[in-house]
Amino acid sequence: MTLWDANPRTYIRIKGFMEDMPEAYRLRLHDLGFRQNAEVYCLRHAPFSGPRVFQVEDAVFALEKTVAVFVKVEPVEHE
Amino acid sequence: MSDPIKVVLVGKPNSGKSLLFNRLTGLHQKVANYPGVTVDVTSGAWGSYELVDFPGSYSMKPISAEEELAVLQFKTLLEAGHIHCVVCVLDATLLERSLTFGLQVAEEVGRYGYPIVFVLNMYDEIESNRLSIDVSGLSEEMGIPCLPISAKTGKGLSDLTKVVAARPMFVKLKSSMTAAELTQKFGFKANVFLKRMNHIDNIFLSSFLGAIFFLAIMFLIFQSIFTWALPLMDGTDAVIVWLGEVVGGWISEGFIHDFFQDAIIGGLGTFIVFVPQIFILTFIIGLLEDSGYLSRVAIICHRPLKFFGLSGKSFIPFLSGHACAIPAIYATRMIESKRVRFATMLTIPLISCSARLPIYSLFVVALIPRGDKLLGIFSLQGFAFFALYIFGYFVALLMSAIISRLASKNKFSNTPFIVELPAYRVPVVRPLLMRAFKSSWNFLSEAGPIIFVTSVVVWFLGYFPNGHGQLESSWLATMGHWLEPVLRPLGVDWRFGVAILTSFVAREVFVSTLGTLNGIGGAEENVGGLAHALNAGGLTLASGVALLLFYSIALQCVSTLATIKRETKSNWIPTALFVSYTLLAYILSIAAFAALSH
Ligand SMILES: Nc1nc2c(ncn2[C@@H]2O[C@H](COP(=O)(O)OP(=O)(O)OP(=O)(O)O)[C@@H](O)[C@H]2O)c(=O)[nH]1
Repeated sequence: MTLWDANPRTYIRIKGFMEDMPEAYRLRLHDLGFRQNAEVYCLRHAPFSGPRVFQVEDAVFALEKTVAVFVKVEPVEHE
Repeated sequence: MSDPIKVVLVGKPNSGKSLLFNRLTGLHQKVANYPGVTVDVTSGAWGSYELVDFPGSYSMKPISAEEELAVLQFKTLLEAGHIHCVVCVLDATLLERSLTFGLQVAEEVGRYGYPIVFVLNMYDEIESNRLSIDVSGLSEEMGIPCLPISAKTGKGLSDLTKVVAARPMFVKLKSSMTAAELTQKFGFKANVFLKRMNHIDNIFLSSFLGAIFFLAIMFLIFQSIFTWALPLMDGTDAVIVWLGEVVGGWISEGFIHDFFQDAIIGGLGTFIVFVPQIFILTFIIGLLEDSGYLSRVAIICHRPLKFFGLSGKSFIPFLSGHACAIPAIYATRMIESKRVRFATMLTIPLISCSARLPIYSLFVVALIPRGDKLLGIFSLQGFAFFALYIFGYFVALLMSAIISRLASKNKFSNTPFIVELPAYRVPVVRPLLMRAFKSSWNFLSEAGPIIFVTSVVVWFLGYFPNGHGQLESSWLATMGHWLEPVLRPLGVDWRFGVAILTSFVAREVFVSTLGTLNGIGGAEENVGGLAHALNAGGLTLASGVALLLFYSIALQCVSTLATIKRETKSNWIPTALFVSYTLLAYILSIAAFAALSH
């Protein structure tokens, strides 16, 4: 499962990144808080199958498919 | 005299750095709630210091070319010395994130041994939400002075002045705590800001309501440029005409008088009337940007635009392009991806700008009888206008698909679309007004000289050799006759050739030239009269449509070309663009004429 597949209003945890992910993408995501083991909340999918909106720590980002498909995630259960 | 000693302002995009800079220096830099607006390094005097505003960067590890430049410049600046201290602007409402960046900066600055101060900006929002941050605890822990301030209300700025003047000695970063741990210990708990933002996004980013709001807001923007700006434009026009009459009255009849009236007042007048439109549009776009809404628009539009090699960030420049291509081309600066930026910039001239309006209305009135209705309800004239606008977008999207395909083979990098959603905020009006003034002034000062020179040249060609202002027997008319073979496939005569030549000053000059050649004065206000004359002169539907198509595509605007040249730092890009759009326009109009004249 990748970040792109996350459902709205669910928590996921970042397991790692695809090997062929461009270094520049990885660095940027790292700086924004999308790091290994980070917990991410998928807020919504933008209309017209647009970018996905995620909350990481205290900020919210929209990511397009080109980037999101490189991030491997797993669902997290929250009470 | 030695260089003034510098105070360097750094911060993440949208931390309020521009507003703080403006506050401290009294300068009016652009302020916008759209991450990444600061691209150039700006500096201004703050007391006896030189305050240097650094481009907002997400981190010290850049990904876009612009950021790389920013980080490099930052290091160069630190190496160059003459630094009193570094002020790092943190967004107090996003404490953890800001601290992550702040700690990176502190580490970098520490290497050079300069003092650093953290300002927790937007503290007014912390207070109005009855939250608090243990600022002194935080200072103590890190060994870096921290100050709560608000660039909006001005609170805490005098403390900042004092702390900077005292030049706190740099103590090496004391704490080994991470940003998350610091926030945990000294920050606030529940994040009310995110919750509130999410509630609003539930409306603006939902498929149904979001789309309705989007359309409503776009409708308002169009209203603002085409309806509300009208009285201002008419007023400006009246002032110019009045000025022409008053000053013209002082000059005795003859060459100088004609030159003044037609070349100066006529030439410059036609473009000064666009200033109100640019002012209003810039102001409204600024309001939307500052409120945080435009980032949402970029997200909503991203998918459809990406299909054509553009991105959600191309939308705002396109929108500005309806007033005038020049500010729109400047607006592409906020697009990080070079490829997308080029595709956007090079297709903006296809968006129907207001200079095309007079031409559209001339032909629409000439070709379509007033009372005609589409499906019995919609005015056919109105529909024709709408169709022309849509046609502009259609060609623009097609061209951008081609351009971005071509650019992808080139060195132009593609930066992914990652947008931070800023909090919704009540816009601060004053800097926005300043910005609207500034962009109107940029338009005047940059397009003005070009339009002036072009109109003088065209005027000379139209006035001489006989010197009596007889356009029919001027050099310009001769050139119009030369053009006849090219015009024949469109079914029009030399007079249209002359009008096309003069419209290089600005498209709408086409209308007034045709007016002069057909003996109709004030053709721009009296489109009906000219339309009637054209009909009487035998303008066919096929020719009319051909010319409409020509004008909707041809890049007949010297100042747009000059702006593209400046922004791309290339001569061949504007040249190639001019040639290809003119050819495309010509071929399509020949095809339309051929198809319709059977
Ligand atoms: N409430 C409040 N809003 C502020 C304050 N300072 C800035 N803002 C708002 O925050 C938004 C971003 O401000 P800017 O000054 O453009 O931020 P910047 O860091 O220069 O951003 P870039 O130019 O994108 O790098 C604007 O909407 C400002 O009006 C503040 O102290 N309080």
